[in-house]
Amino acid sequence: MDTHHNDHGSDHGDGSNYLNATSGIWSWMFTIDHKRIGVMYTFGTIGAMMLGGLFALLVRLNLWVPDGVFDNNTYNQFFTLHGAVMVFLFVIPGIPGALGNFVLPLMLGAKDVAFPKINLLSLWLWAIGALFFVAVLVTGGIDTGWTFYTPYSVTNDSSMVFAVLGAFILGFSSIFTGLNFIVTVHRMRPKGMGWFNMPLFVWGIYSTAVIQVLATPVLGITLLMLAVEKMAGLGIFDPSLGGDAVLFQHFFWFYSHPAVYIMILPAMAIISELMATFSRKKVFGYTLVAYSSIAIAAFGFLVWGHHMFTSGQSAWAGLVFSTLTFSISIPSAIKVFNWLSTMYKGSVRLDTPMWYALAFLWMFTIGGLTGMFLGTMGTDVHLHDTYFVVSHFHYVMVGSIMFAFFGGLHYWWPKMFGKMYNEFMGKLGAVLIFLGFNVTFFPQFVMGSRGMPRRYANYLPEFQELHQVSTVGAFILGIGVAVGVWTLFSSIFLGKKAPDNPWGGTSMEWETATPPIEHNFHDTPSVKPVYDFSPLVYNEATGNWDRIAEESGDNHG
Amino acid sequence: MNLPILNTLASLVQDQKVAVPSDPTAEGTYWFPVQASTLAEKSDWTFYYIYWVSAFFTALIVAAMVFMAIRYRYRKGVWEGEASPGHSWTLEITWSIIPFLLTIVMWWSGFKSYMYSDTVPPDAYTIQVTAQQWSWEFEYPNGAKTYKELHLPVDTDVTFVMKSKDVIHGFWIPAFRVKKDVVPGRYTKTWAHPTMEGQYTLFCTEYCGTNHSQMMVQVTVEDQDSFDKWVAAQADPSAGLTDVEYGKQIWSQQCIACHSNDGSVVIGPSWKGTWGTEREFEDGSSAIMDENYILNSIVDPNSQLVKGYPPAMPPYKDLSQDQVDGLIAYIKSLGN
Repeated sequence: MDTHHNDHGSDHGDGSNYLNATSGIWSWMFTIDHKRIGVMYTFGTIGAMMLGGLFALLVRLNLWVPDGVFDNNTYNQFFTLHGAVMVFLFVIPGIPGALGNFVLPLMLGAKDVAFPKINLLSLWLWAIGALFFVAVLVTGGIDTGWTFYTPYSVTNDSSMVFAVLGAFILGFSSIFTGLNFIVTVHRMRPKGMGWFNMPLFVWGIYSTAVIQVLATPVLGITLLMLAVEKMAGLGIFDPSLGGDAVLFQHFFWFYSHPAVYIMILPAMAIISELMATFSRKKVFGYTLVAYSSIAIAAFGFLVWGHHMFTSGQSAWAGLVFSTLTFSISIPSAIKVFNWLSTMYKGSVRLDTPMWYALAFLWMFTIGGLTGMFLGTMGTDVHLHDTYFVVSHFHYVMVGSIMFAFFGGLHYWWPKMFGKMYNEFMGKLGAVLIFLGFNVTFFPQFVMGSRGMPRRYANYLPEFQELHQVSTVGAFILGIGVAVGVWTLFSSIFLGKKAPDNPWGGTSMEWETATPPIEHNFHDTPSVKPVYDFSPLVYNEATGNWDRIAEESGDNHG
Repeated sequence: MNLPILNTLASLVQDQKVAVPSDPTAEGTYWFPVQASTLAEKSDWTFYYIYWVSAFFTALIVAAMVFMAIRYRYRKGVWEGEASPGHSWTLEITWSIIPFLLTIVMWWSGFKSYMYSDTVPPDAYTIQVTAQQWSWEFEYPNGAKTYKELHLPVDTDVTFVMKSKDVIHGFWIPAFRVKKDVVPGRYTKTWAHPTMEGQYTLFCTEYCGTNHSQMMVQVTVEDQDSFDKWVAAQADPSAGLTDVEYGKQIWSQQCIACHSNDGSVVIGPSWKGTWGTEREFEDGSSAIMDENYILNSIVDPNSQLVKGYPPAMPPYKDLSQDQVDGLIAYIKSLGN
């Protein structure tokens, strides 16, 4: 068979790549290479995930017995820090920061993002924001819940100003990342790549970036007002100072609901890539999937009031929010059906990333459908602020977003580090995470509906059995995550050398060396029809998917 | 706003009575506590409708996924999926329209039950609810106040007019499916029509600080006669009680959070075995635990602060003479 290169001829010639081109700590801390920034985000957000996970295990440990293992105040700090660390340090920045940064410019055949220095600033702001959260820990912790609801957060005498300023700074990190990606997608697409010839990952990251830029400033303003109220005693949200307690919830959710889409759209973006590559077919209804990302981003701004059906908000306002909430369920359903149909008549390969992708489909279905119980006003009244809600958003944030993050990591890891991980261990991790996750969270639906409120340090004995099942699940989940992370990291030292294109992906990141050279490409690869799998054939000897030379010229010198 | 078509659509499906038990002796279902109010039936119907729609689609999607992963699995040398249409308007419109129609029913029936729970009947029996960190106070029309329990007459509309003294709390009785936030700086209202006598639990559902999880109160629904007797007795709380019993009752409602009756230390000193003993104070002085010392400790607690305890107790100047007598009698009964 006629192939134009193999995996030995595709590097710089001297074996240099972006990892070893320069060395020393400063070459990393002041790098403006999007790939190195992506790698640092990867390590940072995985670290944040492990810290948040540790708090989760402490929360679950406390709930082993009805009276709790820790005192109430300690428990309240655990669940607050679990939520704040996971949301602000892991789930929001995770996929765009780690995989978006690494992959997006490569997919566009570009040398970097549009503003490499601002990209470095984003990373630095993330790190500074993380330090503020460390300061929260050191100065006594917070117990407001990650939502900082007023007036409790204002009257709270703990170190919550640090947390608020930390979240404020992380907001700017997010805004700069979004700004960068918007400009990159608009200005740096290669000649010949129209909007509807972009990989769906680019579409997803682009929609996310739009929300990051438009919604995050509202969080910044809100948190600043909260800090001013707390430090200067200005009455904004605290009724005892003449403020309005519910106003905060409007402001907070005006950001934090779109933030859910900041989290889920990049996850969906990954799933589109995985479903196509491992089914060896173009995503079914590509155009509709692309438009549905934009639709979800747009509708996402108009649904915040569904967090407030019991707050005393007018019933008619509630009706509007309920309506808009259902309107967002349709594009989400479309995506699921389209991903499924992508497998139809495909050639489905079940490598580790695909295990995560299929688990995502299942978990996102449950997470999405249970959202309807909460978007429906009548049923939300009973379920609001119970474990049903806790379970629902964990099916979205863990069952969907974390699964997609892991799927994406297992997919692009060989490209990032040039090593293949152990396939058996990868699958073992996926299975343990899937089992542990469902054992943890499915019982929480039942608990919530039966009458278990959330954020309770202790509870009625009738819920003990379900709480114990949930706690056992959480520890299985913890082991699964440890196995997954170990599998990836150990591959850097133990793994076999990865070929350029181990999965047969069609987008441009697979056409450069593994790991990529510092400037990504010697020559910009030619633009081909998106998700065209026909020129790729598997080479048993090298484990690489070779591109049959239809066009002339060697892209790798 | 009136959408008769939707109404008809919802009631059409609603008449089919999806698996909702109406047996009054039932102990609740797998998903729900017992249905003890008129709202419960309405809101549960919507829940079960969404539940079955969700179960059906979850099964469909997972079955399709597993089937295709097996049927179209990779076979050696098959490097590309078979040619098939890249998209299909027929399919895509179908799977947009069907979910759309199904969700309209849940959206509308949910709105109807929400409006039912949000429309407070004008002439209902009204209970004033005051929430604070971390206790509830219920005030009945005859002036009676209770703290540790809430009683309601069966088959009667009851309105709750609620306010908070500090932060946001949440008022939730799962058996009634009733929930409303209790917000400082304004009144919020909700109501219920209990349909079944029994004991239920009221929870605080909006996180309100350290002891949020202890803001639970027992709710008793009883027949009108028993309720009338009970509420009259609460208005004159000492009626029919000895001084000791009355004192114990006050203790259990207002003092128990800091003072135990069994020798254990909570925040303040325990009352057990203190009567007639000599108490030593922070300033070095001392006094015998007698009637006057107890009175003084209630109205000006920090003037004679027992050695080793924090000055945590606020003055309780609005206790009546009867109540103070009761407390003295109760402390006396705990021995020396």
